[in-house]
Amino acid sequence: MRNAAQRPPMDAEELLREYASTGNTAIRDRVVEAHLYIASIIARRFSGRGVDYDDLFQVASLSLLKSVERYDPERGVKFASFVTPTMVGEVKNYFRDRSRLIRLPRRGGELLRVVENARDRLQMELQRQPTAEELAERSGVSLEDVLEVLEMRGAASLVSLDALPAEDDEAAPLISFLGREDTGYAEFEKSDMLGRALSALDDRQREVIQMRFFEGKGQREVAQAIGVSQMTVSRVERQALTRLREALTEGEKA
Amino acid sequence: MQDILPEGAVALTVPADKSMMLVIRLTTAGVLARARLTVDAIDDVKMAVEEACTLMISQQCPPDALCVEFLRGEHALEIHVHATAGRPCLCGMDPAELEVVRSILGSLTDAAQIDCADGRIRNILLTKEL
Repeated sequence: MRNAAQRPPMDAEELLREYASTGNTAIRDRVVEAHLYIASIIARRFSGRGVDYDDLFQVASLSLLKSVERYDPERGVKFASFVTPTMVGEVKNYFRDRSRLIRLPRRGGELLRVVENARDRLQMELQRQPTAEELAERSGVSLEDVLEVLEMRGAASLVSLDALPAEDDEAAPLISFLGREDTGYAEFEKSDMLGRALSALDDRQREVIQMRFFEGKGQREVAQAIGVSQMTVSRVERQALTRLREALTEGEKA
Repeated sequence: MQDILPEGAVALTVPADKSMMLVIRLTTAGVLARARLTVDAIDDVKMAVEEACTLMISQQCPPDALCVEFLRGEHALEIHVHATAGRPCLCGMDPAELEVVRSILGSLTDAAQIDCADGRIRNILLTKEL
């Protein structure tokens, strides 16, 4: 539906009048499909502000569906004139809701909280939206600060880690550019320490540990392989592990 | 579009480049705040002005520079967005799409007119009642 640029070759108002009286969903669907091009244009015009075209198209399309149910043809307003501001309103609200999910830098975040609190209180007191000047006065900050923080709120937008940095579908998603902790050094250090700790064991102990933990054999298999009882293997293993633990603890302290 | 700006008017001329949007948005916010508009109205009109500028910039053949003029009357604030002299613009939009865009701009303000002739957008007028 990226380019649903079909113009409505129909009398939408008449069709919606018919839909209102018959409830025939096929008529509703026809009107919706014929006006999806408006959702497409709105999504295209508002994309590039940190929200994907597809998300905006979906928001605008849902709004179109709701508008069909709310539209009253008897008021004499063309459906296209009714639905466009409604879709724009939904898209605006979507932007506002998303921008509130972002954590701003500390100073901006604190200032925004002060301004938003003042805004809520003033709105209740005045029974209307406050002006920027009123907000500044109530928040105890300058008008410039209020404008700056409102701009900052608008600038904060979410981007998916799965999003591509460019339109190019071949590009790697943003998540692939994130740094991560390289465990290689730690692993190397651990294997080095283990090698030194193993050298503290006698030959029998080393042989048992090798077969039990590096080759994954059971105590009975080890016992058969080296010609001793399983109980002996168990005892040697216990002594070896104690010695290894001591050696590794000393190694960490060093 | 005025040759000589009336008293109290603000005019901003910037290169027709998306990187200038922040300058345009902040200037718009400042002018609107002085006109004592509510914060939601400021948000909406900022978006409309940005959209009008984007419309000029994203034409098939965009202008070199943009001019945004704010003219404050007794009952309304008029915002004119137009290209400054330079190479001729070419809109590249069909009338139906342009009408939807006009309607979008209108729903972010109180009224919007797009003066388009010979496939060129000459001026976009946004009106916000005070």
